[in-house]
Amino acid sequence: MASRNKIPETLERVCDEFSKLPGIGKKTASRLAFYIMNLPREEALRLSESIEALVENVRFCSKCFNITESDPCPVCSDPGRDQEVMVVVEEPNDMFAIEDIGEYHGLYHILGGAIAPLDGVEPEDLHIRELIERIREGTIREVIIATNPNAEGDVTSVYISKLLKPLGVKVTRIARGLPTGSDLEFADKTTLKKALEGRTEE
Amino acid sequence: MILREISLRNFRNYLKLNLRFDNRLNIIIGSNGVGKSNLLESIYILGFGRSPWATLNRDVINFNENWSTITGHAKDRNIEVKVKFLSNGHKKAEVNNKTVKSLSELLGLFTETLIGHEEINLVRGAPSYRRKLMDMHISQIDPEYVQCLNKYNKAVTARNKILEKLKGDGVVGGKVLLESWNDILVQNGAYIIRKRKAFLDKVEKQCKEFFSFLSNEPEKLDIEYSPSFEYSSVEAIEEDYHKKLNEKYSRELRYSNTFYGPHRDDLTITLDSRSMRRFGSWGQSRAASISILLASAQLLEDFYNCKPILLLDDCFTDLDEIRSRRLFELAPQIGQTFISSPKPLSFTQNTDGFTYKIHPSGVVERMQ
Ligand SMILES: Nc1ncnc2c1ncn2[C@@H]1O[C@H](COP(=O)(O)OP(=O)(O)O)[C@@H](O)[C@H]1O
Ligand SMILES: [Mg+2]
Ligand SMILES: [Zn+2]
Repeated sequence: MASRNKIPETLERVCDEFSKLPGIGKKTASRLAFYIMNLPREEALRLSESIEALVENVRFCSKCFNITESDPCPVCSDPGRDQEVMVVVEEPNDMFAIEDIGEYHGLYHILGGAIAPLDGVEPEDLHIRELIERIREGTIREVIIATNPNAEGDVTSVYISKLLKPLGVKVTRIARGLPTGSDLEFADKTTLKKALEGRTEE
Repeated sequence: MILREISLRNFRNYLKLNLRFDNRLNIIIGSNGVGKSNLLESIYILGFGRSPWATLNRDVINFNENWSTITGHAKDRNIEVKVKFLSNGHKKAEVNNKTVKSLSELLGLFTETLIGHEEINLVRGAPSYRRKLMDMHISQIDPEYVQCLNKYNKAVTARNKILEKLKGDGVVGGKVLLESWNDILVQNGAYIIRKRKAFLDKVEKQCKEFFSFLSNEPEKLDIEYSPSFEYSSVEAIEEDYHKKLNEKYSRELRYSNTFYGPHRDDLTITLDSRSMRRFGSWGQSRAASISILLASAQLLEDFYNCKPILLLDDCFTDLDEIRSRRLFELAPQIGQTFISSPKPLSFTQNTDGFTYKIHPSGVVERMQ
């Protein structure tokens, strides 16, 4: 019996790994794999090294859940930052978007998502308990909630403020100034700046 | 906006079709199943970014192909709208070759009213038809409404899920979570109610006029919107809404269901103070449905200051000669009209406008 020409197993493994990534299907996965095979050796290895370094060196900040190479992260360990205000965001990227404006100098807390019962995300799956603990410490005067202006972001904001208000902290929301349905991370700087200035009490 | 030209690729039974349309009136004739409704559906998709029927996105792609596009050119403002369907169920839209972020950005360009098989049951059919009518029109004049409706619907589903859990073994913080969703429900629900009320106040005036023109009788048509809450101001709605949710908590818990709010809204349509749903004849009901829809279309013009597109799919069945003739006269005055019919309509002879005949082979022929 003639042996059939099959895709080498090593290649298939790479394709499998790629297709597990969000937004990448079987077709794209094999295109990426072939692309990498055609790269100069050093370049291809640089990719695998950088992934290794990411996994080894980058972690979540144990205070704010920002992604960081040092724990606590540079923001949490900077005494020059305003220790009395805190912005609460869904994802690290939202934090970077706010940092980019350069107007805000307080602390952050990253939830790691938003309440989305239809996607199976419950409050317990987010860093809400840790947020409450940080507020209980008593230094924070104002919490500015900057979740996305969609149903999930809205309800997360309402939920958090219901839990925080009894602790005697002022709770405001910025996203009202943003066009509904658009993600914080993609808002342009001026809009984001305005939203931050024009926050309303939740 | 007037639809000047459409081109379809791999859409339903049309592999390739280019048609030009008249500014006022376009009649589409052809036997059952040749693709008349499909053509009107494609025009509807240009306006709304989705099919009027609950079909899967990929169902509109021709059976033997794996993508489909609909491209529409506006006459007056040099606008091109393109909607593309892909085999994986995704769709994309472009306006003047620029991809839009969300399909809801198409709303308000080609403004449209569909009067088809379902819509014609507006008066007699289930309440969902009447809610769909309101949503179809308000979403075209108010982008905020679309967002609120999305958030509202999510809140209803989320609440029901939480109620079910609370009834069972409960969840940590479940009650606070439910109350949080209540806030979202009430905020967005109150907005929806307010917009529906404002919309219907305007529609009611205009539809009385259309109804008496169509039916040629002095009967008095009334529409009443009765939301489940005390209606005087937004604050009043919100307060009453919260109160109802609190009062009926145990009932909602028992059934794990959200019983109050705009998703349960209905309209009462009466003829000389008698419920049309219960006492109206089929002909009267249809004339009333059509009047309400035409009045809604008229509102689109008032808002955008340019004429809407009317899609009349097979809606002359059940109308007598006089009513048919009058509808035929009235529609093109309101907006650019597309009429589909399985048989030639006797009263359409000697009118200007375009008539297309679709052959069973899928060939579309312009009639003189
Ligand atoms: N995705 C599709 N590909 C090819 N043909 C389709 C597709 N979807 C529906 N059709 C055909 O379209 C026809 C129905 O067309 P329709 O516009 O409803 O007819 P009518 O002229 O009676 O309004 C059916 O014969 C059906 O087979
Ligand atoms: Mg049809
Ligand atoms: Zn940190």
